[in-house]
Amino acid sequence: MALPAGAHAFLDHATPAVGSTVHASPAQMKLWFTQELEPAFSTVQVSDASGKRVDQGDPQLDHGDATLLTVSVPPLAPGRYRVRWRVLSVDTHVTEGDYSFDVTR
Amino acid sequence: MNALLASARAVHFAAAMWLFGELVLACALSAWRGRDGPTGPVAALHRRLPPVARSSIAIGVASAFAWLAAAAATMSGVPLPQAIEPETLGTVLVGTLFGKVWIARLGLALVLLIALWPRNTGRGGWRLAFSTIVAGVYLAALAWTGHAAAAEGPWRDAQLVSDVMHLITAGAWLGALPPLAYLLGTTQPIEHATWATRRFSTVAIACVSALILSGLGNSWFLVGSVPALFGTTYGALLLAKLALLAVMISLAALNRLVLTPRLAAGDRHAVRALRRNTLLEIAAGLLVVTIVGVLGITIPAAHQSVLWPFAHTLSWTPAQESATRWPLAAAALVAAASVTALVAGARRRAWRSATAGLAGVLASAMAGTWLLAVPAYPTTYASSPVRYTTTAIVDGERLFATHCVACHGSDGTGGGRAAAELSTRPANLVEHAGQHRPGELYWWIAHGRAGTPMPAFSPPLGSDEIWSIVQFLQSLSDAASAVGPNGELVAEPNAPDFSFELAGRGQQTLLPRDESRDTLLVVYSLPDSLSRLRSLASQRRAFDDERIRVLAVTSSAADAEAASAQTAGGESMLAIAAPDVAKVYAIFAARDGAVGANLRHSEFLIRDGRLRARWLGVPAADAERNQDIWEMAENVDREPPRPPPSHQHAH
Repeated sequence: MALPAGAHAFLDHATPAVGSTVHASPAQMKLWFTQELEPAFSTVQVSDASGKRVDQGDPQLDHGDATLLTVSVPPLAPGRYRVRWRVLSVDTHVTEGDYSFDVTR
Repeated sequence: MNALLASARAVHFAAAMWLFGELVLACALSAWRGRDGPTGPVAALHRRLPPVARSSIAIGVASAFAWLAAAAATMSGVPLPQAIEPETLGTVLVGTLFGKVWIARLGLALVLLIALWPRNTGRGGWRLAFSTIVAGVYLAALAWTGHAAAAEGPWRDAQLVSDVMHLITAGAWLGALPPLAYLLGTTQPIEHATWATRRFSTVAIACVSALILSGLGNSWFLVGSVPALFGTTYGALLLAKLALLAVMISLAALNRLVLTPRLAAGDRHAVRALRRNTLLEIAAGLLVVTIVGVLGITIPAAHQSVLWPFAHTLSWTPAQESATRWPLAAAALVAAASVTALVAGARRRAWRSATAGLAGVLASAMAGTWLLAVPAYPTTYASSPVRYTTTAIVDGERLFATHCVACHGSDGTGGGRAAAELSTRPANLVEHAGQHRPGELYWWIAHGRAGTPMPAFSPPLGSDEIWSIVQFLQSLSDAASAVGPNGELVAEPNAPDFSFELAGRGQQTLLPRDESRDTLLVVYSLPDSLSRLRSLASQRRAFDDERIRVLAVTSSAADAEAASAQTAGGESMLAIAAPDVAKVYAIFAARDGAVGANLRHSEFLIRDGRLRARWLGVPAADAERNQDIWEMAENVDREPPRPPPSHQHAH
């Protein structure tokens, strides 16, 4: 039986939320992690249903909260989007994961 | 890559501890020599310092470079040859905490090398004290390269202090073993060896006490529970480390209590035995440091789902049955009497009485263990990877309706239509979910219960699906136990999380991590709720002043549309959310303890991820209701902030 094998900084929650549907295109993805991150090797990419990358390529940590990683996106057309993240926590460990969300109307 | 990382860490830790321990012993012997102490051992250690410093710093720097290269490869995710190109290394060194600590520590190594250079010899006490402090910082700074540095919030400092203390005391003890072994092998006459051994022993006892204390502190932060100690890789490594520590402490006790007195009596064989035991301690210490190398790159047990390795576990549940209560009380009495006999016997050196006491203690401990043992499963202590959200609960409810209602009934109490034909009455899951761990429910759903008609559901259900059912049962149980006989809230059930949007704003979730505001969640339906919604919209400034966020959700898309058209100023509270949200919160709006009543209007005050108060129905007097809500929120605000509910999910 597969038990979850996490590593050191885990995705706590995100907006748009994991697996959710949004009505208005978000201006940016916000990902909250369980530990403070190192900006140097922490990235997040957003791609559309065809696999084309759509984010602005500007992943950065929030100024006041080193557990919050954001990336900007242009107005998103309705459809399914996949968010892939790979982060380095300050205890030198790398974790990665992905989730998707839908934009409607 | 992990092997290189772990071994580089282990070698580096060992080298830094050795240098520090060597200096601490030199300091301790110099300080205690006084006017008439022996000069031989002190001089011998001082002669040893420059070559020891050169070797340990050389090993330390070489392993630091290996560590840097391995860390750069894992951080950047590229193969080692590419990772050690200047660009990647530069980013690691300048752009990460690990890199900054690495540079600072390299500087300290250089300072130490100069301070302990042979040409600077002479017995300068200041130089020795200065070098010891620098070596201590060089060692303690390793805390900032480990798990403690990534801890969160107010506990980060406590965790760093604990880790620093652990490194320093481990270094002062283990690092001083090599120079002690050296002194025992070379020092003449025997009285001088005795003197040095006694001094070391005093330092070691203080260090081991602090080492155990800080080790307990670190375990509290990184392991967090007994099941995690037995059921995770990290815990198993820690147990191995503890076993080695027990061996080392036994050897140290033997040295202190048996060999040192014999040494003082002039027994030459005792010197050889002491030296042999010290070398054994060094070997065990090296094994401990090897484990430390691996522990640093292993997920802390507190963050990993526990896989319980035993068929049984201990639980207080059997103690609540009278059949167990009396034997248990008898065992406790026997234990108390046996401890008394053991202590009294040992003090009077009445060995027969002490042995009987010891036997009694062991027997009563075994009896207690046997009485309190309950069956356990690999997932008994597992926590759900599926978060406690309205989506998960609704998924669980849907699966429950398909696979479980035939026997357990639609309300989960065990009265399904097939129940009468079964040999065993189906369990009342609303009660069960409150009495058992989520991991136990998971196991029973996945693998069935032997000797009962309960079948295994894995397959057809997948792991996440089963966890969703467990979360649904949790919500039923929470709701049932939260409502008192008069319909008031008697507990603070966890608030299922959900995401929502407010018109023109991005998506938000109910539970941000740093929830400091209260939320008033209004579950509404039209037309009943319209007047209340309008009143809340007109009062939104007053709710803002009370630091209360008002959110209104409904299970009907048509009602949502009508409400936004008919409520002036409602944009700030009318949430666009899945109908699941209103459906799930209706579970918590039961009257008279009856779960499932689908009320048309209810309001919940949510704080720190918990439901703190609820109001059922549309109020007759808005002002009175609002006053009531504000008072309740102020009461809640006066309480110290609490961490969000912990058992909601594992990562």
